[in-house]
Amino acid sequence: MQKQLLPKIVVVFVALAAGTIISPANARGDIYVANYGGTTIGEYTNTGATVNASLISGLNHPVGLALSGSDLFVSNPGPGNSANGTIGKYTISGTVENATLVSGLGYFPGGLAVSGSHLFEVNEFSGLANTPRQDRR
Amino acid sequence: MNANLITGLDHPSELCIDSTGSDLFVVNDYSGTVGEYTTSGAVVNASLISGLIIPSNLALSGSNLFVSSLNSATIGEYTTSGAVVNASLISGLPGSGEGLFVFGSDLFVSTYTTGIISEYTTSGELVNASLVSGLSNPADIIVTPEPASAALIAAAGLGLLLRRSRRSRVFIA
Repeated sequence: MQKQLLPKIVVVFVALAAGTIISPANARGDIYVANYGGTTIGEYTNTGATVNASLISGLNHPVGLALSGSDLFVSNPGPGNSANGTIGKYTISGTVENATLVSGLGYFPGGLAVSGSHLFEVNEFSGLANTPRQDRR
Repeated sequence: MNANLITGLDHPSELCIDSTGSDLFVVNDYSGTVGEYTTSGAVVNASLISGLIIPSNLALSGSNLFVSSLNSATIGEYTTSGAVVNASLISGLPGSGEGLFVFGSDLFVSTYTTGIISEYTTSGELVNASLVSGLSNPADIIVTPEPASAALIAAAGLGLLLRRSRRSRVFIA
């Protein structure tokens, strides 16, 4: 009886050990990209296959991305070069949590970073709202 | 909240925070510098790295910083102390470098002008020059960790394979 049970116990142990090795911290998930030339955030597998090229849409030349758990933060310049850039909060599944989590950021909110419960943002054209980023390209 | 945590920057385009959450690195695309600050806003070194030409993005991996440039098809590598490791770690990108992201030993780069995401190792070796293509002026990119559920499915799959393998050996014997 003990001899019959032993293989199953070993298999479960190996599977649990493998679960530790293939941990979320070590394995790559999907790629998210802000399409500055458009209005979308796209999602792709880590081998390059398209999951959803318009996972999030309706944005205005999105620039910066930051991840916190399953939340995705997106910086979004103000429409029509207005000084009202925003940061939106979405899930990595594309659900809108708050499209204007932060507003009134000036013309061009750029890069984003998350540290703990703090969200950091750089504003590339603070005080230079009439200098479109496109001019540099 | 502090809407002006750090001031006096010169068209900052991207930032990243070290793994301890204490230091913050900012790339200034007009002045061609990377500055280091604390996350409380104190200046550590406003010109930690200088002499860059329209740097656009940066990514941190351990004690190394990777910097892309809109002016060139190169990625440079520096230490977080500001020393140059290799100013042209990667050259010949398929366009001007924009978004950067490091995941493990892989470096992902979006090229603004050609709409491509390329994959390299952090040692500079090419993995896939055109991992994703057809994008519209891609800016920032991120790579998420694999969801826990996917990891568990992978573990269960591995367990099943091992179990089948073991059964096969019994039949052979």
